[in-house]
Amino acid sequence: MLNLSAIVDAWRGWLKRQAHGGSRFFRPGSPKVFAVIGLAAAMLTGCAMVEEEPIDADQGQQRLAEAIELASIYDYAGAIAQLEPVMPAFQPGTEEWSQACYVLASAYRYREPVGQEGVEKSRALFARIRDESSNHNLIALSLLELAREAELENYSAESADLPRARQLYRTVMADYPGSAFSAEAAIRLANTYFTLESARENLEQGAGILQNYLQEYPDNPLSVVMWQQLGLANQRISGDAQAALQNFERAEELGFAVPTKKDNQLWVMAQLAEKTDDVQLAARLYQAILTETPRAGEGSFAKERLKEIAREHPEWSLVIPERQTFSSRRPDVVGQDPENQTP
Amino acid sequence: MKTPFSTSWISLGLLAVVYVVSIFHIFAQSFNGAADSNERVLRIVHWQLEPGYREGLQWAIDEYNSLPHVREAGYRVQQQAVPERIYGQFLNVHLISGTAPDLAALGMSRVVKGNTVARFFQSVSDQVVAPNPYNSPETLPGYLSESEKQAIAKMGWQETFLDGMKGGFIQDLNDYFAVPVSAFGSIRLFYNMDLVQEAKALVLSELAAETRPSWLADILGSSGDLPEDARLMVWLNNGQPPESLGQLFLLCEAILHIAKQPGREALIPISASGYTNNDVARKVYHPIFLAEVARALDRDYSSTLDAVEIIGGWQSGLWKFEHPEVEESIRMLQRFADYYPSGFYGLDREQAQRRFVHGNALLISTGGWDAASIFRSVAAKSEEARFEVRVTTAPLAHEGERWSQYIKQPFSEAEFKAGVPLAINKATPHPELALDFLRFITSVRVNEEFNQRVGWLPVVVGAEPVDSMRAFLPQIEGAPTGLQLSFGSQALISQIRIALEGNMKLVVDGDMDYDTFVDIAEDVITDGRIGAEKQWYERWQKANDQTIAYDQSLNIESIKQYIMGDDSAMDRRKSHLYEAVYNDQGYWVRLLWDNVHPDEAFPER
Repeated sequence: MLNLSAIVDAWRGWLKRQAHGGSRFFRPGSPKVFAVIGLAAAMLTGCAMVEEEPIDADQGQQRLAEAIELASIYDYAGAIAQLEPVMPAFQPGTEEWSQACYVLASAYRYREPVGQEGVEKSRALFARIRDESSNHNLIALSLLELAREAELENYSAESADLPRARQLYRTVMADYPGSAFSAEAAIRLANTYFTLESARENLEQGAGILQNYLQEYPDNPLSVVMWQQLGLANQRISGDAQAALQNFERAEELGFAVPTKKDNQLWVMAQLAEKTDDVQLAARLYQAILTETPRAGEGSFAKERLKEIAREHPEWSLVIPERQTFSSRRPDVVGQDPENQTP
Repeated sequence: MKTPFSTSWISLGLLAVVYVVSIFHIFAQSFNGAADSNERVLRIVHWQLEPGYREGLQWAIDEYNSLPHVREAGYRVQQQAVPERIYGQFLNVHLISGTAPDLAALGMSRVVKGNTVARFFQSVSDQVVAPNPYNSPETLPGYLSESEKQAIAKMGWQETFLDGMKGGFIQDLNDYFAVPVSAFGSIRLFYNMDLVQEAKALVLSELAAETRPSWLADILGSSGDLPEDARLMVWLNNGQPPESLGQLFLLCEAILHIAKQPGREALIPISASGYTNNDVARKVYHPIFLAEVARALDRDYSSTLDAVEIIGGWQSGLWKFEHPEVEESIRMLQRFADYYPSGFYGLDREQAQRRFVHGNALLISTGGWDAASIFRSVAAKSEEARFEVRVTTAPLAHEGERWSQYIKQPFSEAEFKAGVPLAINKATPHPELALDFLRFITSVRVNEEFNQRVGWLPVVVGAEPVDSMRAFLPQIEGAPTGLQLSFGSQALISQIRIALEGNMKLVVDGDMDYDTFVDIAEDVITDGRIGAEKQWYERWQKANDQTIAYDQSLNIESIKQYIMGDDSAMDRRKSHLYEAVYNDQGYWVRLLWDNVHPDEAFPER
């Protein structure tokens, strides 16, 4: 009969015999023991030798390309595995080194779970880019990352260093005037005031940073984000609907930062307009919801209110746009030819 | 000594036989593969096991496989349907091991979601702008005019989708990663029209009688459910399903009366079950009932209701359990429960569907995904057992009916997203073929016939659904879907959710009275350890934890822009930066707390 416990007992007995030197195969002092130890040592040495084998530039390039691809799809562990062993192959200060350093630093920064080791490694690498790279874009991005790391409590044992974060943001603003980097630094710097527990007391300071920047660089690449951020601060922190609305209107002119959320942004503006009794503006925004975002969830609310406003103000001759239905034949496509309507 | 024979050897022997058969099967498969080694196979995996789906998809696949350029290139498309229960696990394992099919339906996986989608699947953003080559005018259906055909042929691929391809858009990545191929519509009521007519006939005969039975007198009189007016009489004689909530109640009462007749005991008005979509009161009417409250709670006008807005609203008195709309909403649930089978929470979806199909219920509520199966099952019945099925939206309360001040506007389906989003596996050796197949199956002609065969809704402009599915086309009018005050909201912490939803079920079942429900709910919400304070803190913590995810997205766009040279990354960077600022360290939760509790410190744990 096949007995499992008997097999386990036999196995235990064999192990015991090995441990007590009772084995016929591994007798103490037997050449076989030395042979096994020697083989293991040779294998380990071999491994060590493989580790130490120099990596040529081509291999480094190839690994870098793979690491960039992996990091771009959120595979940070994969990017680290590709780059870590080949970093010595890159000459510090070169373009390849800068790229490799930036990707590796990013991978350490954002590999989950975020912990002390990763944050410290990334901090050191971003700092090296700042000090040794000649790629100005990557230097600016590294400064922004260093600032952000200082701003946040990255892991439970670490506390934020706001003065350092602000100083780094100001450095980027000063070194890269009018660029997307300095605009991002200004946005982040302003938010260090808006996110404080004492946000109300600090609202002016944060808003001032954005307003000054917009005054100096009105056409900067991130101006729409700044206008929306100002509007948001007015709406959330001070509850100043009028100011919020004005800022959001500037953003609307430029095209909102998140185009897929245009419907709700228009709705928010319409509600702020109602709050400030600017019914005419509210009506325009309701019309925009119905015509520019036909799939808006707020469409019915907008239409109802627009009808009310039209009744209250017949002198405005408000047009109430028809909503686009989900018949399988959309009105903007079908029905153009009167000869051939829906069967 | 002879060892006695052990039965364990039999199991060992069976194991060996199964092993040998498996090995043989694997080798046989390998040899088959070797025989067709010139053929390149593209595999599609999905979890749509609903009756007819695989057959419909197979039709589209066969059409594609017979295209000259596909045959000449030696390609063949195959589908693999995996049960919903194990789909997520199946996909995770195969994606990680690099053996996943070339095209996969996104969803069900807890691992492959959000940012992680980008690790395993290809973005299709670069392809969605150009027109779909399979929509050339000569291939488009004959009922479209020439100008319509020209318009569709020139439209960008994304624009040809009824939902603008939203069903394949991943907000976290700000990118299109999948192409939806079918839609199934939202919740609707399926009526057994034979029973509708029988119930109406009963009501008409009782109205004509000298004395009215108490059930009819109650509903048309003292209860205030339904005014006895000209509209009622028109409807009773027009052969249509209920057009108002009061009319629905009237038919339900009539069915309860019919069920008292000998041999009709199995009959019930509404075939409900523990499957939420079968519980029309909780799924459809309860959120409608509280829609006005929900709108008042939406402090940031985001048109979505956050857990802290619900709880903060209660703390600041914007809603209370004593408010009439809240108390009445529970009465409405109790009222519906009178029309459900007893112990309906213990029944499952199949049991509810079977009851309806067997003609033992006036109606069932469920989604369009069950429509084909219901229609087919009823059509397969014998002629005398077969009945007409009519599908409508849940009727609202007409003016003068009970609860008409609350049940007056449905939720809009304008933001609907098409389903079965197929994504291209990054590791596929045939990315062009996968993309080509997606274009083919979402062309007007193919998408129309494929979904007509399946009995679901097509997803592209100009494609017609089967008549029975027209009732599932999204209804655009109504309140934003995000504004639903639900006691079962997953955003609520479990302790509060159980106190609200769990106990609400007991109230509905009659196992708890409303006052006890309120006492327990208020005790839990005001409990310093497990109540509102915990909700606030956990919401802030969750929002704060998401900070790194927004920064991660920004960082990746910077790699794409400044290292990979992708100029389109700037627009995505802009969007991600605004999202990062909007949600930064969950500061909005603390600001909301300050609005609700101006002089109190934010709860810390």
